[in-house]
Amino acid sequence: VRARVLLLASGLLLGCPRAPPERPAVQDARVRLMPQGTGAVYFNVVAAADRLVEVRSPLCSWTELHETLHDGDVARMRHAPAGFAVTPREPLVLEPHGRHVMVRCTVPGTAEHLPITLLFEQAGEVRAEARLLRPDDP
Amino acid sequence: MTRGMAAARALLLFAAALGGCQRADTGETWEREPVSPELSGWAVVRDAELSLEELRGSVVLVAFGYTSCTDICPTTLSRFRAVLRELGDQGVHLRPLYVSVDPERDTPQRVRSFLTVYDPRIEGLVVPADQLPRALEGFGAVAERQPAPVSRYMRGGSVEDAQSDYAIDHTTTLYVIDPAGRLRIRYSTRASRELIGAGILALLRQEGR
Repeated sequence: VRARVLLLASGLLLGCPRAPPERPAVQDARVRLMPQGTGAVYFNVVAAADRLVEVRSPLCSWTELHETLHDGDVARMRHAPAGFAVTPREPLVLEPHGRHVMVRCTVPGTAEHLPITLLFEQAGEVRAEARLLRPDDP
Repeated sequence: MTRGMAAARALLLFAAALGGCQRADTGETWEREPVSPELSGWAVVRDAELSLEELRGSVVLVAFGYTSCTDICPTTLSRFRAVLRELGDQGVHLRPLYVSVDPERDTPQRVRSFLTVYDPRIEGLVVPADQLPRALEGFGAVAERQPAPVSRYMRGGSVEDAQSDYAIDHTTTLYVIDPAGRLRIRYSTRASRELIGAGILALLRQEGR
């Protein structure tokens, strides 16, 4: 125990970077759904080296990983069938005007969250709840 | 932003505009030689024909998009809503106009339901397909169809479904038209609602409002 305490203390003194979680951690998951049920899911992932290959939801008839590319002032949305890499040094960020999950879902009017399951090449399935965004949310 | 600060900022911006100053670093560009683009179609909220010419006397905020667009377009409409709130009472002099680049799928009813989520003051315009290229050209904007990935239909659906599904690459700029119908300011997606609100106020003050 003493050795472990000393090791941890020396790590803190040397400013060691925090190790990534053993399981991918999904943060700030949110979804913007339009009246006809299409929308985009966004989140951040902190994980060891891995690759996000799919996102599913029991309430969505289809989901696809997409990336909006910017060519000057023209937005070009592209399917990303190979998924998105995540590394300990570079968390995966899905955000408006960038990487996102395009979805078509049927969500009850009273719902505040969309259940989602992220599928990683190494870590397998990770579940999360995506908060339904309101019109005022950026 | 207080009204006094907004007025000072508006005057500063207007003075900069007179000097031909561009602020592209902030996402704002004032036109050095304003043009008067033509735009007309079916206004989905008022449920009647509408042209930019009929909106002379108001400042018009224009953006292009479509209802099947899931990432860029909803955030553009959020921006419209935020700008209207930023302007407060002055917003009565602004006509926000969202123009569909997808006349094939965007029925007036569909566009109306898309817009009302954000603000009932936002008007939607469906331009006939044969007139859309010219309308886009007037703004220096583009809209290009891209087929949907075939994989979307591999687990169900038909070939017809796949062939009728597509995304549209399009210009994301927000355009501000002055009361004389001239395109005066362009805002990129990185421009803040405060900046856009101040630019619109500058044009309104130019008109003595």
